[in-house]
Amino acid sequence: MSRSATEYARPPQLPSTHFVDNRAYYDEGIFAEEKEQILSKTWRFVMHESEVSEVYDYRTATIADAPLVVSRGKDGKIRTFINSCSHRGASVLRRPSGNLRAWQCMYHLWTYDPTTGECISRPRPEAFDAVGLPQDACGLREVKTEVIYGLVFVNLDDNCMPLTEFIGDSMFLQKEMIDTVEMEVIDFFELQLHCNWKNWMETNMDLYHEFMHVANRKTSLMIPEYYNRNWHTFPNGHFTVDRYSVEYDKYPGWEDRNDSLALPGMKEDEFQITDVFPDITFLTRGTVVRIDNQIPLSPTETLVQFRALGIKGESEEDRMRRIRDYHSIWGLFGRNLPEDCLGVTLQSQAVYGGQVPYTFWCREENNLTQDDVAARTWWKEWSRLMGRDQSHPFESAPSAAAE
Amino acid sequence: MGIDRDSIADLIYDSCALLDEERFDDYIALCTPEFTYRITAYSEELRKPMEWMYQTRDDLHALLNTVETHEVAIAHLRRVASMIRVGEASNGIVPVRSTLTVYHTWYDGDTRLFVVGTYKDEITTDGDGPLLASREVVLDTRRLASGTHIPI
Repeated sequence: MSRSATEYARPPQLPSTHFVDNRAYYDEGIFAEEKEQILSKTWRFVMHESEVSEVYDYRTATIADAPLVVSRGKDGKIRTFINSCSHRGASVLRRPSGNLRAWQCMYHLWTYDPTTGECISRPRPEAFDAVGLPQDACGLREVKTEVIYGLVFVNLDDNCMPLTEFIGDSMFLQKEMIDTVEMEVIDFFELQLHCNWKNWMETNMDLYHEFMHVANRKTSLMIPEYYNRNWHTFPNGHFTVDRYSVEYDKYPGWEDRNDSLALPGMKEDEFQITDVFPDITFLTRGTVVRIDNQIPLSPTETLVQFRALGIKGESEEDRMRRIRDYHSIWGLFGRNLPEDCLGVTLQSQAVYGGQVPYTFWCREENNLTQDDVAARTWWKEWSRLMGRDQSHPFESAPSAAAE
Repeated sequence: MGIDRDSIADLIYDSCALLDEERFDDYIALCTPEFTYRITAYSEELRKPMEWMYQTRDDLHALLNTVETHEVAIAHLRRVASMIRVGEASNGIVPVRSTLTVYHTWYDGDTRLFVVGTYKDEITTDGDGPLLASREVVLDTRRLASGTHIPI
């Protein structure tokens, strides 16, 4: 039975935790607040430590519009600085990565120490000294950086809680896979998607959408075990779901996938997901880990970064098999990733015009696989940090139920 | 016998058109039984080359046969090969390089640039006509607007 305009606009008869006002996805003001209240004040994954494996290696990143450079100093420690010359703001490092013993801004040749961020030289400095701008007042801003399980996290808030407190026990199912042997990033690409960053994050917490994936219908959704996995929720908005065994041989061309490259703690055919608030997902399909993180560009555009993790020092043959496992499903030309792109694109096309009022996150199945408890956990944390109820973001503070 | 550059160029153009039209069996017929297909790119972020796809002829054929079963993200791709440069033949293999531009057009007619890169082909000329012995698609583009089920 169709609905009238009045009926359509009416909030659903559901707890406020079980639906989202779609303006939370595309409103400009909410997006600006998210950058301030969430993206600038939570720990944000920026890279794996292997991306700056050598002394003086650097890698650029962006969080909450802040341009960053992450480097491994001469003391071996990983630090992060704002990648902007203290003089007139030009990017100091222009390439995504490299190895430099000194960082020189190309514009006026101000130079910085990659270990300390200290400004170590300025051409003709006397004109600055004369007005009371000494060199030692011109260092780069250092940003809080911590590393856990080889994962580099950054926080723009100098007063934030320690990373270990933020993560808590949320990665208990992931830890063994990525922190037992030395790992490295074996593949990297980006997608610039026409969607809100939260919509992409939701593809990795909404397992009900897996009916969309043809490969999953053939290899997973007919397995009873698939539906009986428990979601585990944690403070600060994180969650993880139990693993299950995928029947890869049910998809043409994957019959010999069950090889001997399983990561520590995993069997080669197992699949597990961990989500870390606000925008990080770790997916492991037995032989390879995929890490998603996001750089929101606008309310309706997001840059998603995709990293594959493999074992450092393995043979070339094993490496190629692991990479091909990854790309067969999660690659740009794999079976699943294009379908996720389609899902968020179709969603944004319909919703961002402002005529579709609500998204439902109301499935309840005893916290099992296709229960929406993961999304409700995520939105509960969003509501807390934003001081807004996701179901009525312009009317009230988070509901008592949400708190 | 000199290299028939026109027939080689026709092969390149046909390989684009047949994938555009999703005539996958006809595309595979352009390839030798030993054909291998790769999509690669150089990662400035990792400072090393990446391989995003590797398929033998039979694997590629099987993969292409699954396309129609999937929810296809891209409405239509248009592959444009140009600046085709034919190298010197050696042991019946001719190396050929083409500049590649691919556009995608969404269901509403909106067209955007999808990827830019190079076809690095090895072409055999021993038979009745030239065939693809191998193709490496080297992409410049590493930030795409979507994934796709259909190779480039």
